[in-house]
Amino acid sequence: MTTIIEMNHLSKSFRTKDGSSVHALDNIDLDVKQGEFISLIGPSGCGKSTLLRIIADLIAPSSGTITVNGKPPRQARQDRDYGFVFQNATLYDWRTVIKNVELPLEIMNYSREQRDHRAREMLAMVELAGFEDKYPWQLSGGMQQRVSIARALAFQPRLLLMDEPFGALDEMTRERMNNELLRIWTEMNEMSVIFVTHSIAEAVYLSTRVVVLSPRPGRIAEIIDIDLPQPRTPETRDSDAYFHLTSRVRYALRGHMASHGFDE
Amino acid sequence: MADVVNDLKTTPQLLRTHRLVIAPVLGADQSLGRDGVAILLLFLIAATWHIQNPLLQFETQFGSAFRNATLQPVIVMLLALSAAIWVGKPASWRENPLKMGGVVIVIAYTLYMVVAILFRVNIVGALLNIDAAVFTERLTNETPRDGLALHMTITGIMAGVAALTVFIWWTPFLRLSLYIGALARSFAPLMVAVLVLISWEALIAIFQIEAFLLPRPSVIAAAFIETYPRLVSAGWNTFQNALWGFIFGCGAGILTGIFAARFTSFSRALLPVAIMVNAIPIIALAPIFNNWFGALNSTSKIAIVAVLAYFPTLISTIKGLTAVDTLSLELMRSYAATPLAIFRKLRLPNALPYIFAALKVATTLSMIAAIVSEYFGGSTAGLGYKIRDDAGLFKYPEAWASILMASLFGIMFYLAVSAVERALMRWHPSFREK
Repeated sequence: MTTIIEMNHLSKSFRTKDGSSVHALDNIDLDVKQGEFISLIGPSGCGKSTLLRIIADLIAPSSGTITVNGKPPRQARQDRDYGFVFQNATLYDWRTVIKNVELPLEIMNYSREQRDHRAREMLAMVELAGFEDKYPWQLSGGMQQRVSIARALAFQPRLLLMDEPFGALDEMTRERMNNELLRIWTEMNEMSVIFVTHSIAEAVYLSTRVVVLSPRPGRIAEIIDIDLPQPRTPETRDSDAYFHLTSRVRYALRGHMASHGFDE
Repeated sequence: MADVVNDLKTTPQLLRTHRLVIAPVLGADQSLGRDGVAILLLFLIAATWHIQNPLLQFETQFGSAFRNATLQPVIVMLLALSAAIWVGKPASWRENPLKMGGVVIVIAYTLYMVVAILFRVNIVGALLNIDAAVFTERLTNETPRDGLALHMTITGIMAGVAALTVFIWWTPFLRLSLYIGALARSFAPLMVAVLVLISWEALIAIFQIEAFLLPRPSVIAAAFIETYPRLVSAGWNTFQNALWGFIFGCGAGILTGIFAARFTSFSRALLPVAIMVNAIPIIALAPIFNNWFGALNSTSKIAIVAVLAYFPTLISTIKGLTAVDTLSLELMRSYAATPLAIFRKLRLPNALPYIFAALKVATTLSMIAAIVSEYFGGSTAGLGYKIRDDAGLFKYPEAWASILMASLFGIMFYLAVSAVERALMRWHPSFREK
């Protein structure tokens, strides 16, 4: 399997408004292989979203090196190598559902027929066929997030970056969305996903590897291989192996939270 | 389906026709927008018929309201516009011969009037052997009155058929429940308005306030009805200054706003100054503008309107273009979108609500500036001059009637901009249908 992301000694510090500096990420070394589903998990403020944004070239690291598809992240962004799904759906209010999915295709100069074809295909995949001409406000939160996933995948990137995409959804919807996401990941053959979450259950259920980050400065505390059999089904959540792995992630998180106290 | 059949058995013939023939074409349109278009269209059909016939234009009061030469082409263009809106998308009538017939009649009448009034080619007049010059000149002893009367009857039948078509498709008699609902919703404000008018009338009678201090509403209404042809003409002249000033001022405001928002440092420097200048009562500069651009032409009026409309538009445009959600911007960055694409697909739609809020404020400012600037001299054909003149001659009911006409123009200006806003921003929360 080819390596698509390589991070060496990545660090990031922010300067806050009062002039002090916050050390968000410290010495991150991580490789991501083609087709992996990686979850970044950690307490709030551990820099997991920052790490995702560095991969996406939405912010620059303070030190260390990173390559995406063997290129600097800026080049990868300009080559449209990844799709990004934000915490809230970030749909444009003035566009209908289908026009929202077509947005990246418009920017990337796809023809009108290609745009329409791809957008309909993607909407069918996230099971929103028939909602093409609705406006975002006419959809529920879960449906909006599905549109945003369809939009991120419309131009068929090989890498999907997701920043707590289901954080705002209720537990039932979230579990259904988890299954949807796994199905999509399987359909999009060999696509890699980097998934930021603070739900242990979600991380274990979805991932092939879970990266546990410690809080301030964010360091990799532990990387846990999730060797649950594929494809994962709702029954997976009932297996002993699943319980065992969620406990391991919980202990990994707790170990580092205990030393810092539960001040988050 | 069975429900529909049952329903039809018990409904009167008229309603059945409506449900089976008309409703499927027009759709179950429950908004009052269609009523607005229909009323406007009926009014414009009547107005164009009057403009087109010298006997009506010079000898009836309604006709003489449209004697202003620059108003006439605008009336025809409004007719074409509202006919186009009324006709709607071809898909809605191609399948239905009834609607098709209505569309043909209304389009034919509209085209006839566009040709006759805009291009001065009078087809019926030519067929009746009436000299084309007769239609554009005042009536004299040589005017062929019999020919014109025949012409009036023929065009009157055309206008009548067009109006009847519009009325049949409008079916206001089947929308009574809609109107009752609308009346019920606006009952409170209507009552307040009626109460204000009644107490105004009553208080003047009780305290015997002199008419030159404050005329009764009924007196103002009488003066308005008596002089409305002149008021329309004067109002139109003033409105033109307001409109051109609005177009130049708001156009320049939007363009500089776009330019300023493109260069953050420039807009940071410009915005506080613009906000400060906006706080100055610019209208006070009207006499100085008269000095700069000449008191007698309308340039000085248009200029002061433009300056007044410029600053709020500029400020709102900059705000709308820069107040963009961070995540929406990051989304664009993740697509490696060009600055032009970000502008067209994110910043501009995001700014539209801000820009239209400013434009609506600017309509009111423009009318104020256009009227007040006339107080300081210049053309004698405008409303501002008329208000000042009437007040100076103690003709206060006439002055109040002019103020009423100014309000009507102001309200229509505002509504027109609102309609454009509504058409461009159907997605916006304030226009979401329930």
